[in-house]
Amino acid sequence: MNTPILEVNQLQVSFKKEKEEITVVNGISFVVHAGETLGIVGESGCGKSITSLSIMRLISSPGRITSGQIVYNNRDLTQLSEEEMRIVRGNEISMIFQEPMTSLNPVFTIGRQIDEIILLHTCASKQEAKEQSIEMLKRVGISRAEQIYRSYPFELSGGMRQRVMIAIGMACQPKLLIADEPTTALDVTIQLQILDLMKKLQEKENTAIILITHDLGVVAEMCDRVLVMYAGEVVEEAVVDDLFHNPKHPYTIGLLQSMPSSVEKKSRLYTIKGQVPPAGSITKGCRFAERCDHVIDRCWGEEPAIVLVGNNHTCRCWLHA
Amino acid sequence: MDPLVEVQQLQVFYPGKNKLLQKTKSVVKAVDHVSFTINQGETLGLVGESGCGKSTMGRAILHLIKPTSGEIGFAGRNLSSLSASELRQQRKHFQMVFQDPFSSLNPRLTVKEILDEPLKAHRLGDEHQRLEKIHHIMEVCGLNRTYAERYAHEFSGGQRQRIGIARALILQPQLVVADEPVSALDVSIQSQILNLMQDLQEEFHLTYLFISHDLGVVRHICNRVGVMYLGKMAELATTEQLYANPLHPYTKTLLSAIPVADPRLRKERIILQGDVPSPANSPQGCAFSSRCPNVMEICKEIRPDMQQVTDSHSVACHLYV
Repeated sequence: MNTPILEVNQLQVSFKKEKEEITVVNGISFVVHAGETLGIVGESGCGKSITSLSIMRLISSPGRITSGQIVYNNRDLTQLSEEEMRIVRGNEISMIFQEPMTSLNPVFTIGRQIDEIILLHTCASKQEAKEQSIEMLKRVGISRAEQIYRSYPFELSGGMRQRVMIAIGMACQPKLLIADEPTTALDVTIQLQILDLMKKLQEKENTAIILITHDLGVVAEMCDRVLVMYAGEVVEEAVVDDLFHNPKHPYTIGLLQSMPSSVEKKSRLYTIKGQVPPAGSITKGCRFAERCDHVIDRCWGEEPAIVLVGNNHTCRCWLHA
Repeated sequence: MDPLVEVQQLQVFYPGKNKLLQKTKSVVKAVDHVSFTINQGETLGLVGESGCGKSTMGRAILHLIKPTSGEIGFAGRNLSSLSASELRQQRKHFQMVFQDPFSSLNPRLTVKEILDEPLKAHRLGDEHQRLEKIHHIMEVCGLNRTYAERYAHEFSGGQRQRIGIARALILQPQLVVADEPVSALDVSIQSQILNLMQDLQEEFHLTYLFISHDLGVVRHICNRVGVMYLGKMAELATTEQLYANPLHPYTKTLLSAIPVADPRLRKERIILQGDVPSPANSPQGCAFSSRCPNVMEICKEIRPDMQQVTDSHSVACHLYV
């Protein structure tokens, strides 16, 4: 549990717009340990998906990683060549995307798409790859695996497609699985099936999972530790129990309070006023200042640093500095 | 409370695909023998998984889809018996808010033109009066009146949904059907829109039919909730009763599947096997019999009728006969 398998240090990602460089991920750092689930939460436009794509080195022009390291297995992924990176992708680190329809190729059978990754990363023959693929489909809970192996993506339901995506992601027993909103497009009953499946596979293989979501319910259900991102920065990091029962940053508190609860009925919901500022628009002070209920003079002038506020609990806010 | 909408034995069928050389035409029973009422001033929620017919139901009530059979009474008049021009007259009393604020606004029109269309269609007021109405409704919905000349793409998702709500309310309707109005939004924006909808309901004495798959949101905003499964109503009760004492096995599994935003409440959940069957070949007998954990012999043969358990709680299940 305690061996770190991925270390992200001061990662910065920028996009070029005309002549300006706009920084969308600004110096974030975190560690992922083997076998744990790290959640990344925040609203749309906070840089969650950009962070995960940078780990896979899938940021394409006009975006680029401008500084920082992503250390996996003692190697800095930002320094690898495209060929070296291709060996890592899908084999050691793999990714599941949100929309299971658009991330499968519609013109190839399910079987061919799982075979592809096995053939690419192992020395298996076509026949062996087929056997492994069918085995993988069975492990993700697809009952008619042989039949599904020959089907095309459009013949499957959303839940089945996401199972196939997981089968592809897990086919080479990666050490790290990045799941970007894996259940957002699914119904609650199917979401539960998929989350349960991810947990079971994780226990068996000791895979580390980075789970990106905006659903705090899913975070509470799945994660061991959580990063809260706001406008391209980490504003709070805590063990899941602390985050829900002792949140520190006003943004985290706001997010938790604005959720309608399925346990108790509130008469009115708390709202965080305004919206996430466009990337690059805030250059001075705390990025959350204009939406914060507890804003003090200092927030406008100086950006707070990340400080330790408890056991394994950090927060970026002047109230706790 | 008087009922504003009375739905009686409503059926909406879509023609299905015909297999080659098959004589009988297959039909998709999107809504099948559903009856319920919506009372003046209340918010009735409709929940269920995708494909259960809740959107079709919403559209059928507004006569955007012609029902195959059954009656819809609105304020004492049977909508099916009205002529096209009479129906058009009536339409200003019932309006709709759509799910996707990105595709439900015409990108070629300014906000003013979008809001002007319903007024023009119903020939309400001269240009000056209409403009006044537009400015008034924009302010009520939390949009600055200086935004009137802007186009939809210049707004964020939350603001676009406000435009969608303003468009529905500008005719001062009695009934608003909101089809997943907040599912495309982040939690912090979602809470702003939900609060707005509650405020508007109070101010204009609106009646809402609130369609959603998010049981937390439904619990927050609805007075009564109907649970649909495969085109049929499975259970209908007041919100308190439904969440405290769900009767139908499907309602129980749905409620159990919601991830709760509290890691201390991680619990054993009822995980449903498989997907929702296609409405084109729903099981004989009870629609839920193919996935029900409490299935009995009778369920596979005879479809249970909706029956009252208490004054405000009815369920369609053989367990409660």
